Amino acid sequence: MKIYQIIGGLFWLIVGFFFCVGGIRLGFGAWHAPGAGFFPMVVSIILIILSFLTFSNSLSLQFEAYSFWKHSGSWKTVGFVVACLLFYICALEFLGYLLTTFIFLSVLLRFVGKRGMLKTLIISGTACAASYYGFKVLLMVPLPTGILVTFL
Amino acid sequence: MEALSGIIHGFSIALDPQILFFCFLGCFLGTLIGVLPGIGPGGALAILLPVTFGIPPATAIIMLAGIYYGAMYGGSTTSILINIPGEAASVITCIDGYQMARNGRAGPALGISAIGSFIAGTICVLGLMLVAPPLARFALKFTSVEYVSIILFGLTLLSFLGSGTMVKSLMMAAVGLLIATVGTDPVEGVQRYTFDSIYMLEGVGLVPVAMGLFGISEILLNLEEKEIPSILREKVDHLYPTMKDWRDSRAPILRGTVIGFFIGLLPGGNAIISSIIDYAVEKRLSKRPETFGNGAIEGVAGPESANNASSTASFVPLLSLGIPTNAVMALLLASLMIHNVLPGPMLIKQHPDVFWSVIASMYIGNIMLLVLNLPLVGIWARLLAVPYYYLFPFILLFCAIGSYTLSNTLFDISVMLFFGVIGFLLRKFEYDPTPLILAFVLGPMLEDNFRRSLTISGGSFLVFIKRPISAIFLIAAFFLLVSSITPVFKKARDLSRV
Repeated sequence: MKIYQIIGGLFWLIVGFFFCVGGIRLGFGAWHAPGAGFFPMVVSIILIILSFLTFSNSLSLQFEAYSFWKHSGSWKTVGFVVACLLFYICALEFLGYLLTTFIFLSVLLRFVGKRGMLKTLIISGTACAASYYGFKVLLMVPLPTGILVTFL
Repeated sequence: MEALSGIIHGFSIALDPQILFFCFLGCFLGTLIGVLPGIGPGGALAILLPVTFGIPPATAIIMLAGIYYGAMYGGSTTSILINIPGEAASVITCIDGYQMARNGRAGPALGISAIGSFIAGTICVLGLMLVAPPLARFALKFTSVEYVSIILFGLTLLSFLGSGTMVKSLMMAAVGLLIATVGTDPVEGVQRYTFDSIYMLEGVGLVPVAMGLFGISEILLNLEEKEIPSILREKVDHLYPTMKDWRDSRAPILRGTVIGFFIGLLPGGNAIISSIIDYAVEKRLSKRPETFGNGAIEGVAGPESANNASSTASFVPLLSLGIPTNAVMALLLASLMIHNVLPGPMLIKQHPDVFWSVIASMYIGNIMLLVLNLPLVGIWARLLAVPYYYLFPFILLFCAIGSYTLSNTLFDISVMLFFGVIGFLLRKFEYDPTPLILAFVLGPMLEDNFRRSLTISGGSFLVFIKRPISAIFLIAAFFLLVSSITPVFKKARDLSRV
């Protein structure tokens, strides 16, 4: 755990410095008339002190065995799901809601859920159509149509 | 008299068919979320927040409140049947509830849990009805100075009681306050930390941040787990407790109600803490402490009552002071603010409809939950057979669309994903994200009142200790900070976490 405590302490120390420098640039103002940078500066100084405490405490910790991932292959599942969400963000406006959602659900059900191909396609297609009807037709949410613009 | 006329007015609104429907929907979804392991009430509320944008404020808060206390009811089902808490507050119910199920007494365990929750919930709504209006009248005397001290005390207490170390929790609170400064400064109109992005001019949205920190990160953590164990294959019957069960449970239910109510009033005093403390009290008071851990019905009745009492009591500081005491209350505050209803001392005066209909709906909601949880418990138990791998893609999709609908841009989904990964890493590195979200919500209020206090006092910090109420809260916060580094208190705090 020691190495993660060190990384955590350092990370928040950097975040604290970033906000502190930003606060200085924004302007501290005066005690009786605090400026836009006053509050972020005060809070970031507190963060810097606390991060330094965490960092210095972690240096005195004993090294102990700590596995970041619960199981050897779990990083692949987590990474894959994050990648799928990234794909969703990148493709949503270009491919449109229906296509992107269908691909997104199919890939997750097939490769993470380990479902059969036919089952995957049926569930994804039904969920896709039902959610489109619910959001677009009933709730009137302006979902992106993407390349299917001429059909919808 | 004020309370009586208020509650009658509240019932006249809450009995409207549309509101009854949303109250039922909230209770139903809450029970569902409580029953299904893998998503807690915080994540669910964050996900469903955008759904409430199109409905009136009273209806929205009634539905969201129903989700919260419904999850408290439903959370015990998985604890008792498969030894996995449906939501965090039911973790203590696993100890004796699961043992009761293994001894063939799953029915009475589920029954007493629902009945205890109903009694505690109903008594605490009465408490809420009687305590909140006088507290709100008292809070009218508060100035910006008192608000600064109360918020600082709240954040310190939350960090003290939080699941991580106090330094880490305080760090999270500081990060939340800093994220809250992103956007346009309300006083000078200057852009702060926006990187000249037009999407960040109004700051970072609460909904995508909460969805990321509580929804997405929870899913990512769950995906690391192997399959959830199968349900106890046993028929759930004899739900209604026997006379002996009832004799053993009635005192724990009442004690749980009192303990839960008072802990729920405290900032950071959440349902988990109240159930843990109540379990310790019940074990200490029991004539047969050796039965605890082996299926003692008192070990189910007390903590389940306490966590429901606590969840209801946490509405008192939210509705009367405008200060949320936990992450779920922070989301409810956000929901009210989205509807231009500002909780706090003026809420009862300016929006009596909202205040009294929410309270009336809680009485109705408790009855609905009793019906949902007693006769229908078999159906909820069967739901546990749905594999998590079927559920999570749809939860992710709902999060993504919920974020997208906020401003119809991809920016909010990106923020949600970013905070999802951050939330995942925070939990891995043993940082509790709850102080972050609470500080993020309270940040603008704290900054505004802090700057105003300094302007009024001519830059003197003495103003915070010259006013008695403010001084009491600051001294209490200081005491908490000091006690966290004092060995005796540190030991007591560590013990309370076990």
